[in-house]
Amino acid sequence: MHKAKKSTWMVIAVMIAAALVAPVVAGPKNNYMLNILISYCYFGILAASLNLLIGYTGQMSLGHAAFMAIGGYAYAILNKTLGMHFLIAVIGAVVISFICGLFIGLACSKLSTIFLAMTTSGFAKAVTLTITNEKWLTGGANGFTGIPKLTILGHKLGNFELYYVALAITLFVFLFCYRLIYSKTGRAMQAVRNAPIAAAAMGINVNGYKFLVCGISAALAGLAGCIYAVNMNYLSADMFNKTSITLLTMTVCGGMGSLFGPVAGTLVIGTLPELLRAFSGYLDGVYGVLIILVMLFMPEGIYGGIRSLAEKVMSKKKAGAPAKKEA
Amino acid sequence: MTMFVQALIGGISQGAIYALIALGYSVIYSTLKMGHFAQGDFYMLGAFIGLFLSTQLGLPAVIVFAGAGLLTSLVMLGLERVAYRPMYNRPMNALLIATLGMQYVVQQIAKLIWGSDIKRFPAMFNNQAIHIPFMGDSVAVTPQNLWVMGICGTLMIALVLFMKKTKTGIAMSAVSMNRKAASLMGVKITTIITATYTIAACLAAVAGVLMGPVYSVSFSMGGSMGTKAMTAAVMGGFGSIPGAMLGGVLLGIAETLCSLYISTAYKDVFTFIILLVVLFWKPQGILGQAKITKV
Amino acid sequence: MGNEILLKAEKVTMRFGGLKAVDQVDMEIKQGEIHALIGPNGAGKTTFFNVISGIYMPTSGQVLFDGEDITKLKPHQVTQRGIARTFQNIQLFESMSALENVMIGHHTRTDSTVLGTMFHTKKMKEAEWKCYHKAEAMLEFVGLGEEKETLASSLPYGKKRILEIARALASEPKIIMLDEPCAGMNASESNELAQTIYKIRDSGITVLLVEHDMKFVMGISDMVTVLDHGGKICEGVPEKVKRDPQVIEAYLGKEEEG
Repeated sequence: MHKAKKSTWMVIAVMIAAALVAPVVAGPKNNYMLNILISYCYFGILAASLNLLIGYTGQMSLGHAAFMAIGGYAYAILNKTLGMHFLIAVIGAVVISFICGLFIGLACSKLSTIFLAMTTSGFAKAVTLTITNEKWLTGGANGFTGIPKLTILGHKLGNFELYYVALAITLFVFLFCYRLIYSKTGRAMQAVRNAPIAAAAMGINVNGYKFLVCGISAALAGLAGCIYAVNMNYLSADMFNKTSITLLTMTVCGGMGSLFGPVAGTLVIGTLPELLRAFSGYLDGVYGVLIILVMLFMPEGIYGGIRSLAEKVMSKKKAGAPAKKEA
Repeated sequence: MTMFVQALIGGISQGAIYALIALGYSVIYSTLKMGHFAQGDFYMLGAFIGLFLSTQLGLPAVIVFAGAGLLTSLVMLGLERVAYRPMYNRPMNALLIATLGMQYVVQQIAKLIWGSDIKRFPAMFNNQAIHIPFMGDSVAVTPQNLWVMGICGTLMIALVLFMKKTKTGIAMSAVSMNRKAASLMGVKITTIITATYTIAACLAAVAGVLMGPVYSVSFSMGGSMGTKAMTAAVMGGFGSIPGAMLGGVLLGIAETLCSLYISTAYKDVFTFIILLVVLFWKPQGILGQAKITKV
Repeated sequence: MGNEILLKAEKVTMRFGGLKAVDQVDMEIKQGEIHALIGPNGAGKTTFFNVISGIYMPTSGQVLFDGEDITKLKPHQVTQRGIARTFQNIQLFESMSALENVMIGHHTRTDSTVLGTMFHTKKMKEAEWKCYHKAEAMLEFVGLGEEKETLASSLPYGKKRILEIARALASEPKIIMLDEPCAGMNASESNELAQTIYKIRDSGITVLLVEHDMKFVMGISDMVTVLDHGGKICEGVPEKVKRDPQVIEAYLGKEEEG
């Protein structure tokens, strides 16, 4: 059973408190800040989902934004075009994303890293192309406009309320991931990444797990897509192209293989576009350089790097003790 | 039938370009066991440098090609030294991700030097199509097609000869089979690395210069070309030189045939599906070697 | 000690392209035995292990376990049936702790589903505790109780090998296959290992091992099978095998290994 340390719970409590208070501090009518805060939510979900795939089962997926697109568009079509209630549309979008994820899962189980990276990258392109070409379904290159805002009990949700809904969903997703990771399933996933042959010898159905995690990961990304759709009220194919590189930077820089990594990555990288507003043309290059620097010097990401530093400081106090595993 | 042959010609010509870039991927993978995602962006760099040499300096075509190849190689070697060299002993994922980041770095460099507009590359070869009579109709072949096929073909033959006959080439094959043993036999790994990247960069650069006039030059042209070339390399057998050539040509033909008979918009989806089919049938590619994992 | 045959290989042949790694091997392992598989390097011993544990499907032949034909089963299915194994080149989950490694070994017997995990049901919590305790117990059993929280990658080589055994035991197997468990161990470590293997046998688990250390093998085994160039050249009690001229010839020049 996993017992997180008291200090970890305290950090989490502080973060949640900050998250709850943030929009009030920023100002309930400050749409600009609210949009950023909401973006932390769906990027957080995306980073967590990609982390499950890469950090925990070791499957290199480059097309993850495609699932966000699928989820977002599925929601938009179900909700606006087909007039379904938003809850049903969300569930529908998540299920559709899950199934698409399973389809990619087939590729995952058969292919090794590089081939997988390529195939997922190709998949993302195929999705973008389909979105751009099927005008009747998706609005094509002009985008899908007029996605209605969320209405709960007759009350139309503004960005302020939407943020809290998104935050709640994000926290649920993280709880879900937490429970998944610290369980037999989570251990099996890590085993699959560490040593797949040994994992099979332990009775773990390696392909089955890869399959399952692809589906779950895609479903979560689809959920993020729904939040995005409701927030922006507008979707287009090239929105998602930008997302891919941002997402990769977040996941890589934040640190894979832990739950805090995606959080760190989202917050740090998600804020970059704001900090570097003057240099928005250079953003991609900055992401690229960051990725390389992190891989060179801190392959465990920001969170991992901090943790290693903390461990080094701790072990200086207990000289000679072997490396211990932390929460 | 004429349309078919016409498409075939176009496909082979386009496929030759894919093959050239795909060779870069395969050579790097085969020798260094790494997937170099940024290859497509060196194709883009080659196009820009070629454009510069040709329009700004007005140099003759041969020098443009050679210069583009040389300068692109220098850039690649520089980046390799700084970013990749320290990582060869790390797990493969780290390097793979770094090459992903490198894509954006190279694109940014191009943006910084040449800006984000699309630039026109004046045609290097006269575009008068030659009409060959065929089955009552005629098939058009442009000098561009012929030059592309000719140059690509020559380079590919040169590469194969290089790998088989020269000391460095044979050393590269040795390193690809067993790096430790090769270095114990006295092969200088740094030389091999330099050679590998130079070859890949040159091939990509030449492809860039050849294609510049056709598609215009912009910093983003490397992205989709890179993906397509990598698809070709994977289809043919990643790490296999004949595989890259085969994959490239097959991809080119598949694309043009799809454009002709099915739809132009979806040709990328079509080729993606072909990739999936090939990988499901033979996960290591058509000419690739199956890996037997030792336990 | 039961006399029933637990694991039976019938004319197992494994071909890789033109190479016959295992050639028409018959072998019977009886319940409760400590059975050794020996032979010079390249004789096909690990390949044979891989066939039994489902990593390779044999080119021809059958493998029967507890009466059931398991030839075509995948590795995870083989483990579910009750066959556990360790690996010649250590395949631990390096980034996880010793305890977690062993807990993973218990995977097939841990009784929880994904849904149960989501909702933290009582059943799931019970299963987790059971898994945790079993893993603790197995670590104690092999003498690694102190190293519970230690990262697998930072354990010394000898302890890594023992950890693999603890991990294999956690799956509550009927038979455990050890692939070169002594490799890299000194005399006192080998002795401890021998005691552990006896403990395993006494707890009712059959043992099949591949080993090069002749003294160790001959001292501990009830039965010995000898492979050379993929084929079986001798089988019997240690005394008989030691004196067999074919066996001695196969090892000529490799006597340093003794």
